[in-house]
Order: sequence, then structure tokens, then C-alpha cells
Amino acid sequence: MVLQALLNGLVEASVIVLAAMGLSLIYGVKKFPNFAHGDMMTVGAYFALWATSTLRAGIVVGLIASIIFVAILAVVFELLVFSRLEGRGPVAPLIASVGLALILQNALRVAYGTGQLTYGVPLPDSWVSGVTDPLTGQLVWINPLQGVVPLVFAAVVVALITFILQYTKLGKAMRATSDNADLARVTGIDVRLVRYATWALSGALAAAGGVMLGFRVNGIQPLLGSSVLLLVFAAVILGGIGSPYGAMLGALVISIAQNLFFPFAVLTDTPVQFVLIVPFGIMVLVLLLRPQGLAGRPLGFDLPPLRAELRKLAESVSHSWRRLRG
Amino acid sequence: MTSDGIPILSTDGITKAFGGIRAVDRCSLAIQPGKITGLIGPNGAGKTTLFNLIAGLYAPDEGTITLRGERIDGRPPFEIVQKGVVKTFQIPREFRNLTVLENLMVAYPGHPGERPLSALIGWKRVWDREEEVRKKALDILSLVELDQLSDANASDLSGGQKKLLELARSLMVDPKVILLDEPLAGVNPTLTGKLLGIIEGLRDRKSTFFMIEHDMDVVMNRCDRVIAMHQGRPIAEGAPEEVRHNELVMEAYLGG
Amino acid sequence: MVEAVGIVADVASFGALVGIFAMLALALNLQWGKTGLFNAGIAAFWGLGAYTASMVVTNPVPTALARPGHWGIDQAAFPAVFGVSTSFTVAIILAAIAAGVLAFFIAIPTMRLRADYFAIATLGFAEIVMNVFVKNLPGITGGVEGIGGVPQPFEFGAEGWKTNLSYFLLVASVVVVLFFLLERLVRSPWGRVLQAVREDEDAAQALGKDTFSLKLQSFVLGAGIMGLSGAFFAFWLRGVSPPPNSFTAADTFAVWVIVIIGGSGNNRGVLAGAFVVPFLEYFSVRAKSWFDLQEPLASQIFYFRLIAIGVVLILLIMWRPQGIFPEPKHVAKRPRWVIGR
Repeated sequence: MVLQALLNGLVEASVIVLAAMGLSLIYGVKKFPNFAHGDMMTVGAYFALWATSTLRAGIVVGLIASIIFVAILAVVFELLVFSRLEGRGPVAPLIASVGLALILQNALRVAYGTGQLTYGVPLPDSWVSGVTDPLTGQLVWINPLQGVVPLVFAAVVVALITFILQYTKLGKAMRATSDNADLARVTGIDVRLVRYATWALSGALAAAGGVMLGFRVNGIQPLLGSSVLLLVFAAVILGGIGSPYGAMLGALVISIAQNLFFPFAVLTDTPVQFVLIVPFGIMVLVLLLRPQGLAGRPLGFDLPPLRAELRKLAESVSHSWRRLRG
Repeated sequence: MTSDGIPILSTDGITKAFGGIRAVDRCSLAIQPGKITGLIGPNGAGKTTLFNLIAGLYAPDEGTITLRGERIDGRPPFEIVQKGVVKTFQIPREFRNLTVLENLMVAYPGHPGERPLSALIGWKRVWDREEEVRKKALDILSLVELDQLSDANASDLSGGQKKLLELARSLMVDPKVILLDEPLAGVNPTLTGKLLGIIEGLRDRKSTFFMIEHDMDVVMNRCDRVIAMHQGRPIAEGAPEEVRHNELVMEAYLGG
Repeated sequence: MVEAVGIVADVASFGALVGIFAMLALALNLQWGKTGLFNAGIAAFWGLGAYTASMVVTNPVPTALARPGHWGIDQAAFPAVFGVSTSFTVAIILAAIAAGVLAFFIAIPTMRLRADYFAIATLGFAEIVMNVFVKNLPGITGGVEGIGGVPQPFEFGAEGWKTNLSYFLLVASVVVVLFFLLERLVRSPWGRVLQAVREDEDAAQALGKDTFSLKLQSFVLGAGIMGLSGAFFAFWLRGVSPPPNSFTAADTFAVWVIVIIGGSGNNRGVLAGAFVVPFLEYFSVRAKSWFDLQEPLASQIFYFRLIAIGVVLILLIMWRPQGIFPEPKHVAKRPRWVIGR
């Protein structure tokens, strides 16, 4: 199951990375955690379903329509809500995004009910490789629809986003705005436009992530996106907030660690539902030890500071009780 | 470098690096009690970082900081304040929605009413202490001539008044050493005179000041001693006249 | 007559729920309104209180085939005083302590974080506590089934209106006491220094304030009150069940709506705001019969309730962030009675 877990982790990472990059872009440019990002993914998943049935077209058309729709929706959010909360710190837009999350999630419940829907794409047989997993002795497998499609699609999108951020004028403007909005404005960048573009890109990534998640779990329901939101946050924080490249790395680490938990759970007889502890535990550790995340620093935790931090942590635990009483 | 008497505050070889750049580099200096010591140096010399190290906002990577023979480096800021070193901010950081009086009262150290249980029970001694705190705050406010504004919201003060409030607030903790980060920046000439008068008056009552200042007239005429910093460490120390004519200092300012 | 009695029972039950949310809102108002702590994990403190209280007032149930059991205490161990079991008092106290202890351990790693990170971290902790542990520990928590058969302190059998009314009066008196204690606290030097921490933590620290301890005190005390509210909720509901039925992020943000509507920092305001959420809850339950709603609208009304909460949240944060009742000036004021010489 180790090889299988690694492969599953890689597939899961490909879905998470789409969401994490979108979330990270907004966190970087708008400086707040968008709690509605998970539900924007769900909207994307449902819109693809609606588009395929309404247009009587294939799922590829649905996917493209959904990406366009959620990108426009995200721009509308900025226009109506978030642009008006500019300059009020991270808390006001955070609260607004919670409100938005409630609206989106429940609007979908009103429109589609709470049941599980599928895209109606027949699930193909899994591809079984010739490689044997050393732990279980079973052959390693992957499903073309649930595994290969998200993996390939995410690879293409990640390459595209990297290109946009690295080589286009828009990408450079986005990075500059993320670094220092005032400085960017002074150097002649239309920061307002950059914010709209960032929302559009973030929305597009959310839709793509939502549809891929729908493939991955082979079904969509109103909690589809919000159920992975914590995982996405963990990836973003691990990667360093506002750093889309860090988000890729974070998504990989989180997803693989999470999938490695399953063989561990089987071996130690731990309930598999405890898996959520893994990404969250990593996230809390990172918040504690490296609030700036992993990106922009030598990779891996260098030991001396880590030891010092752990010592400080132990000290603070022992002091906290006394200090609680003032 | 000369020193006359036992220093109240001293640093010994302290270093602080940010991402490979040593903002403060093996810096050793000593502050004499009951004097106004000026800290000068070109931009980027590490003056504010040094202040932040002394105040405990950062822990030094190396070296020690000693207050009257007791090591204070690596202690959290609130402990350092309790030991008697307080720092004012270059840009005033008033508590905007508290009144001027409350800004001072909240700074009083060790108020028993700031413990939740005592506050809840409401011991008489808590509220008696509160009366003392109020009196002390009003005394300091009249010293800095802000007593007319004691009930105004701190956010309604002018920039110069906020500077006064910042100094007044730090006086509430009965500090032994007061670190002033550019207390006169952006203050009009009348108020500058007033602020300096207050500082000198307090110095004459045995308070110790360590002050970052860019106005050379003020440094030369009002400081008792001057320390010049360049590239993270002191390059000259002594009476204002001596430091002014020090070749290294002139080079540092002119050569950048 | 029968109808009047029914209305009394109904209104009392609604009033008790308002009181339960009022406790939550007062607690959040201490944490957020006064101290600036973005607690997004209310559901966990509330839930832990509710579960703790439920276990104290019910007998243990062993795990049987297809029915997860839960911990409990043999009720014969509690003597009754004036006909009411002392287990309720113990349950309420333990619920508050359990939530306070949880808050203490959550605070140690997260208290230093900025508001937005703190929100993510507390949301995550709540998720772990309720969705991972509570839901997956059958034999201790009743697993996905939760705990049923939780009694109320005053039971009048067939005369349900008496049961409901007495319970409402109990909850209301607890809210009143809490309100006065919290008002006394925010008008003390402690309240003043908390406000200083909220306005500028660095400046407070530079003046010698142990801001970590102060935030910790506020967070633990607030969480304890949330646990207390959880106990009253469990009695009110006569049981507890894990997410997605109860103790979800939606509950957490419902409390946020109350505080933002009422006016963060204003205890009177949040008491008024506490009517909103239970009203929406009741309205969505009763609307079906009042307006003779047909399916699918009859079941969709629950979702419309949450949409309404979302819309109100956005509109308020955009146009009236200070809430309906803005924060009053809390000048520390010597209370009318003090203790000691």
C-alpha cells in the first residue's frame, strides 16, 4: 500500500493544488483567507453538470463553461463586495467570505437538493500496472477517470499558471501587487485591474478544482468543496501564504502524508476517519514553527531552530498555567 | 572609549541578523545613569534594531544585554518593561478608542484590577488602587500639559500631542531607562522645546534617556553624551563635541 | 385553554434557546468584541460542554450490537436537593471546565497568531474535535448516534408547559447573572487592558503588559461560558448528536452573526441580537404550518434561513460593521458594591 498510497497522494494533490493555487492567489493579492473558496469549487462542479445537460454537450464543454462562469462570478464578488472592503484589514473580508460561503452552499441545496449527483460519465475500468506494492503484495492500480484525468489536467493547468505568473505582464503585475500594493501602484500598475484579474483566475482555478474533485470522488454534493477547504488551507499555509508555487509543494506534502496515513491506520488499527488530523497537524506545526511557510527558505526544517522552537513551546506550556491566573 | 562611572544599561557584543544581513553587529556600548545619551548614525546603521533588541522585541543572536548587573536579553518585552526599560514608538501607537487618561492608566504596571478574578470580585483595595492610578496619571498629564484633554479620545489628538502622550504613557511605568525613538520627528518647534524641557526636567530627577535623534542641533546642545553608530556597531562615543569632530563619524555620514 | 398552554410551552422553549445563544454571544463578545480574538471554533467548545453535561446526567450505556454506547455516571450517585438531582449542577460546572481546558490547550499553540491565521486554526481545531474525535469514539460519545435521553432539571411530566417555563426561567436567570458579571469585568481595569490589547497588541506589550496571558484569560473564560451554554443546550434538546446535525461551523457563524448584528463590544446589543438566530430557526420550523407550505419549499426553507444569515453578514460588514448598537465607552467604573476594607 505504500506505492499505492504515494500514487493516490499524487492524484489527490493534483486536485488540491488547483484549489490551493486559487486560494493562495487571493490571499496574496487581497490579503485575506477566502472561506468561500471551497463553495466556489462546488458551484463550479454543479455548473459543469448544468452546462452539460442544458447544452447537451460533453463534459469537456461543461468544464470550460464552468471555468468561465465561476471566473465571472468571482469578478462579481469583487465588484459587489470585496472591493468595498479594501483597506479594512483581513477580518472584514474574511467575515464577508463566510457569508458568501453560506449563501453559495445553501443556494445549491435549494437548487439541487442534498443528494449525490454524477456527471453521467461511465466509470472506466482501472488500469492495473505490473508493479507489486511491497506492503500488500497487490498490484498498483489507477483509474483513468478518477486518477489520470485530474493528474494530467492539473499538470497542464499548473504549467499554464506558472507561465502566466512568470512571463506575462499580468503575472508580473500580480506578483508585484502581492508583494506591496502601494509600491505597485506607484510604479504604474493598475492595482484595481490586477485584483479583478486575480479573482477571475482564482475563480477559474476553483471551478477546475471542483470539477476534478467531482471526477475524483465520482459524484458531487453541496459540501463537495467545503469538505476539502481545511485541506486546501493546510496546503496554502504549508507552502507559505500568497505563494502559488509554495501551494503546489504544500498540496503534494499534505496529500501524500494524508494517503500514507491509511496504511498506517490499518497497521495500527486506528479509525481511518482520524486522517483529518494529519493535514491539520502539519498545518498547526507550520503555523507554530514557520508562519511564513516553506517557500522562500531552504526546504526542509533545519534542525537547530526547530529544536529551539520546540524548547520554547515546552516552556510556554509549563508557564501558561501560571500565567492564566495572571 | 571612555566611560565615567558604572553604566546602568550595557550591551556586550550583541548581534542580530536578518536573512544574512547583520543589522546589529557585535555591538557593545554602555549608558550612564541620569544622563541623556543621544544615538546618531546614518540610515540603516542599526539604531532602531538596537532599540528593539534592548526592549526585547527581538532576541539577539549573540551577546548579552545587562541592566544594572542583571541580564535582560532574550526576556519577553513585558518583563523588560517590568525591570525598568521602556521604549516609545517612532510613530505614536496610542490606544485609539481609549481616552487620553485611560491611555495612561492602562500603562500602570502591576494593577491588581488587571487580574480577572480580582476584577470580578471587586476588592476595595483594587478600586482604591485605581484611584491612586488616576491621580498619578493626572499628575503626569499636567506635567506634559495634556490635562485639558484627559477625556478626549486618543485618536482625536494632533500628531504632536500624540508624541507627548507617548512619552507620558511611558512615564507611568516609573522607568529607569527610557528609550526614545525619534521623539521629535514631525513635531513643530514650539512643541520640540516643550518636549525637550520635559525630558531635561526628568533627567534632573535622575531618569536616564537613550534617544535616537537626527536633529544635530538637538544632539549637540541637549544631549549629555553621544554614541554614533555605523554598520551595526558604535564607532564613536563621548561628549557631543568630541563625537562631532570624530573622523570616523564624519566619514560615515559623508561616505554613506 | 389548551391552546394557551401550548403557546406558553412554545414561547418558553423559544426563549430558552434565545438564552442559550445569548450565552454564546456574550462569550464571543468577550473574546472578539473586547479582546480581538477571532474564535472560529465556537462549535467545539459548545459541543464539548454539551457532551460533557450529557454524560454527567445520564447513566452509562454499554456498546451493543449496532448501537454505539457512551460514557455516563450512575445517577444514583447524585443526591437530590429539593427534588432536583445535583447531577445538573455538577454537569454545568464540568461542562464549563471541560471547554475551558480545551481552550487552554488550543490557545497555547495558536494564541500568538494573527487574527486570520487564528481563525483558520480554531476552525480546524473545532473540526478535529467534533468531526474526528467526538464522532468516531463510540463507547465514549455515542459515535454518530450521540447521546439521547438527557433529562431536564425540572420535569413536570404531562404538564409540558411547566417544564418548559421553569427551564426558560432557569436559563434566563443564568443569562442575567452572566450579563452583570461580564459587564462588571469589562468595566474593570481588566476590561480596559483587554481593550488596549485589542487596539494595539505591540504597544500594550511595550508598556509591560503580558498580552499572551491576558488573551489566554479572555479566551479560556469565554470558552468556559460557551461550554456552559452547551450544557444548557443539551438539556434543552434532551440529547446531543454530532455534526452534521449539531455543532457545525454554521453554528459557529450563527453566533458571529449575533455579535455582528448586535454590535461587537456591546453586551446589551448582543443580547438583542441573540433573538435573531433562534427566531430564524423557529420561523423555518413553523413556517411550514403557518403558511401551509408545499414541498419542496417546506424543506428548502431551512436553507433559505442560512442564506439569510449569509446575506445579513455581508450587508452588515459592508454598511454597518459596528452593528446596530455600537460599542459604548467602557470607562472603568467603581462598582456600587466592593468587598473588603
